[in-house]
Amino acid sequence: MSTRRLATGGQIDRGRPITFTWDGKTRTGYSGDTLASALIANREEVIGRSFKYHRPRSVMSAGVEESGAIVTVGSGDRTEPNVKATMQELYDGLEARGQNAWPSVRFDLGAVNNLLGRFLAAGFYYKTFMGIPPLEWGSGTGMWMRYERLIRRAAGMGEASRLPDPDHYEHAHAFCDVLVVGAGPAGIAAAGAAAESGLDVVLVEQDNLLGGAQLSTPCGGSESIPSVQELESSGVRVMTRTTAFGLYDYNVAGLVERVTDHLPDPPGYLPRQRFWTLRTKYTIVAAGAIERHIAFGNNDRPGVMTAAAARTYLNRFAVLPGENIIIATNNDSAYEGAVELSSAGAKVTLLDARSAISDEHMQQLTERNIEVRCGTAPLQVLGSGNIAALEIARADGTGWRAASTESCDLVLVSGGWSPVVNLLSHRGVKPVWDSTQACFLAVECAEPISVAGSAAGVWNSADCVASGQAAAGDAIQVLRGQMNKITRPPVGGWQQPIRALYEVKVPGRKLKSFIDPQHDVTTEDVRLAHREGFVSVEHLKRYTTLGMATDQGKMGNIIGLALMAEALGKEISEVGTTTFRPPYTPVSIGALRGRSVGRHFRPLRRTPLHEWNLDHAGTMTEAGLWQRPWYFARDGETLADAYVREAETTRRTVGLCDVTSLGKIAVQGPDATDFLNRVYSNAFAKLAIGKARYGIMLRDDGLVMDDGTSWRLSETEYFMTTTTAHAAPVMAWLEELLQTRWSDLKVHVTSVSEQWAGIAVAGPCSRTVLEACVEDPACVNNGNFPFMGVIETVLKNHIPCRIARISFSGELAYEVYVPSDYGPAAMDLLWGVSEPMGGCLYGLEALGAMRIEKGHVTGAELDGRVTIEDAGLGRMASTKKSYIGSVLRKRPELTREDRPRLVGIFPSDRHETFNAGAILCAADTVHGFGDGWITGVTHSPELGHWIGLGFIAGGLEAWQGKSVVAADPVRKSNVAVEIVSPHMVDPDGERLYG
Amino acid sequence: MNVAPAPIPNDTDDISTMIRINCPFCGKRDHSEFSYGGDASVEYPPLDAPAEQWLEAVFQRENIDGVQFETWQHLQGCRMWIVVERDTTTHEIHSIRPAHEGIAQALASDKGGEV
Repeated sequence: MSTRRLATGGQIDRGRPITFTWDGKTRTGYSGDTLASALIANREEVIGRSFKYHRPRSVMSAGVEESGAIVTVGSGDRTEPNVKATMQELYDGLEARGQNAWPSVRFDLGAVNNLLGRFLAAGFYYKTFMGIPPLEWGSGTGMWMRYERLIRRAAGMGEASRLPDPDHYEHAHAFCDVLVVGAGPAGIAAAGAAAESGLDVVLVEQDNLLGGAQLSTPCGGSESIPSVQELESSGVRVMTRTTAFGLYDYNVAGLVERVTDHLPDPPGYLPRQRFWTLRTKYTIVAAGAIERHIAFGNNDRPGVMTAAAARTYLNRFAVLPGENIIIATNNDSAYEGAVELSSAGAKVTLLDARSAISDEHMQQLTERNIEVRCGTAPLQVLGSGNIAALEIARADGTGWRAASTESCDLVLVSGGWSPVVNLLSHRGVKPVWDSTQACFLAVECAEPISVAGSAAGVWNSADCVASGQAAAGDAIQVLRGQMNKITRPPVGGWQQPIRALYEVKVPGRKLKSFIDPQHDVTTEDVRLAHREGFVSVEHLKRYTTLGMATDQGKMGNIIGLALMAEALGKEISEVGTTTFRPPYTPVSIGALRGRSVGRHFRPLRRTPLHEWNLDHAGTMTEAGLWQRPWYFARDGETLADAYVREAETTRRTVGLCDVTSLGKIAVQGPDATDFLNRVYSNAFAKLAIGKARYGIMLRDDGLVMDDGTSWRLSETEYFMTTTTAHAAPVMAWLEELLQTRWSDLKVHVTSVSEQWAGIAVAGPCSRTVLEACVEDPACVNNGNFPFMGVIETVLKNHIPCRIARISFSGELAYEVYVPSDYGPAAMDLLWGVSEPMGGCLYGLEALGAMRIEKGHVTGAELDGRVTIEDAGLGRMASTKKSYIGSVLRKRPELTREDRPRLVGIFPSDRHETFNAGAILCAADTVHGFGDGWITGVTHSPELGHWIGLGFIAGGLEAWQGKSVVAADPVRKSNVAVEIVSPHMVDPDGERLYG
Repeated sequence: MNVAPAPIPNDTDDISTMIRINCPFCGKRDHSEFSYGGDASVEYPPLDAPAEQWLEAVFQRENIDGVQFETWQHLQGCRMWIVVERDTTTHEIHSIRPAHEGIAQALASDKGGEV
């Protein structure tokens, strides 16, 4: 089989042949090819199978609107489905294959759907499978959900890889004065003129080459298009392979730059794509126009494509897509291509729907032996697989009648041009129908945006250049305040006006005429939608799925609107259009997520003791952003073994724990005491220097915000700790109060969380450990350092530290803080003493076990719905002062007796276990929302069985001695439990004073 | 006809939008560096004020279609709270000042001194 490649011409590099595979077969192309041009050159006829009917499809265009040649590229974890072959640059080793077909696109068993086509019209699935007995045997939509799975398998697009994406993506930001979208004649002229006046210009082009439509002309490779270097030396920043996919508020443009999609072996240091946020002051949209099809019978067959696409394949890729070509047009734009195809050796027949064409054009065409038939249009493509012939219709009054049949191997269609107004639509501009040019134009925009070239309905390239210069003039005028004379070329520019033509049909003939080939929407579907009452274009779109495929209506929207207007007896301008929304072309999820993936998904916070913990066999866990030690397993221990041992050891001798992640805030200034007295619910006015106090903060609405301790270091300085989870919100809250409400207070707050490493030293031997570690052992004896005392002193080896005698575990305990860099040295020192005493290191799991035993609350309990009384901390609410939340915590709803209150939970059978998250129910009413819930559970080494903390309506008083069930139906089943005091171990706190 | 653009003022220091907020301390920054506080016109009552006043201040909010004063914090920058006069429908920002009155005055006199 000979190739369709011409011996000369085009912008391909014949010196650089490229080998690729199509459906497993090796094919060759050249550097400069797209996958589509290479497939056409290789005479591959069927490239895709359609969405619903599995009809054979091939290349229909040469651009982003492609709806036929949709393929899967790559393999394994680099599989990319739904790639438009027209946009995929060819590279060595590229693997492409057909999709939505089995076993292959050439022989597809799913094509049986095509025979059933008359049953598969718009709404078929909903009508058939929903609500009609006996198909609806099941209840509700259950059966529909089953059918839908089968239906979805039969219909559809390519299949994505289920493997992790091996590539990386980047987010980048840029600024400029003028953004020019599109590097065709208008865009290049606009960018050049704006740069010449000294403006900072960015020119983006989705193609890999500059030139736009100019590339599809015979002189596409000549000097008529400036090179990237030339433009950049004139001050334009050029971004090729970059799509401006959306325009957003205040001149923000979203760009996607495809960095390596065209490379066979992308270097690892390059991102696959870059997602740019570009801030500009002025935008010039020179995005071009897209040639429309005309609806006629079997107009989706391989071998039907737009006239402009054939011109592109001929002139840019040196591929002659057919030898016996019929061109059907309703406007002037197809003539140049007709001449060029004829010159390249094809037999060309031209059908023009208009009754006459200009003498000049007629002369040009007939000189080339191109037969021109005015007043004719395509009616139906004949031939089962490939095109064999075209049935032609002749104008008959306002309609058409079947006239003749002509053999051919390629049908080219030009139904007029649709300016790419999508980016203006993103800005809320309603496109207006121009009936003379038969297209929508964006005519008014309140923002600093100009439209130029064919995007503005200017058809000739000389006019496009002028249009681009005029747009640059607009930008200069706005940004520089210069008033220059701006000459704008008129809209249009064809010798003979277009004759609007959307569908060719003759009475009494049933044709399968496609409007949206990607979603298999036909002209009959639109009429059916109209008959069934879906007359609004928005409803039409949703009922037929017209324009909802990956091309987002670039191909067929206008035809759909025109047919609906016809059915309604209205003008297109009255029917209106749907709104284009970003993105203009699909954006990969990878580009959107950028680097925020895996370990970069969120920040990682490590304490200064991280390495130390790992060196001592610590297993880490995530606590918010923090990595915290979970447990320190010894030989053969599991998590459960380890935390029980750690808790036991700590309660018996001593344990050390990294508590650096607690929030730490320096509160300084003459009014610091007054400030703390206002933000904490308990009294702080008389806290002595050298003392710490546990405090609760409420929100304005009276619910608990956070708890922690504040240590008074001097008359004017406090060291506040917060929970790990609330460290950042508490800091912002204190700043808000000081800056927006109490600007009279002389207080400064500084986050010092990063400055201090924190180590809890807990257990009956903790004082002995400290005595051995501080320079002056006397400062930590019971007399000098009582419960809730604070000292600032020096550990051995000159380690500065501050220590408070406070306890989360319920044991005699201390929190030791040292400057972060001293953390490992301080830990070495403390562990050096603790280890020989039989002490242990403990992690979050043992810490949790001990705090649950004590009934100490954490974030699991303080979840933003809890009052201070609910948490069993009512005694912490001062009655002698006013503080944040003191008024609204007394709201009736917050003071009800039956509110959920903190309780301890034992399994009735002490050998049983139960889960956090279980719902607490009275034993005789295990249904509904229950009466409470469990927030945390642990095995209690002290008590020898499982225990939990939770909330239950009315608290201990209401439930003591009653039968309660921890209902956990989906995980563990129900467990009988008892409600007890939350203070399950050492309720009187005697150990603290030991 | 091509699109005839409406003139906009040149980019100056005192124009900023939802996309860029002109922090009085740091300059123009992306709005993602800031976090929204709330309605800046709310006067929080004294801590011992009657419950009605607190209910009003904490729970009652206008849903303004137009210009409102609101507090923002430059959370990822200088951490200062600022008062932003913003149009809720267009995101246009008319003025920005530090929330702390003393600092706002000091900044104003500072700038006055430079002129």
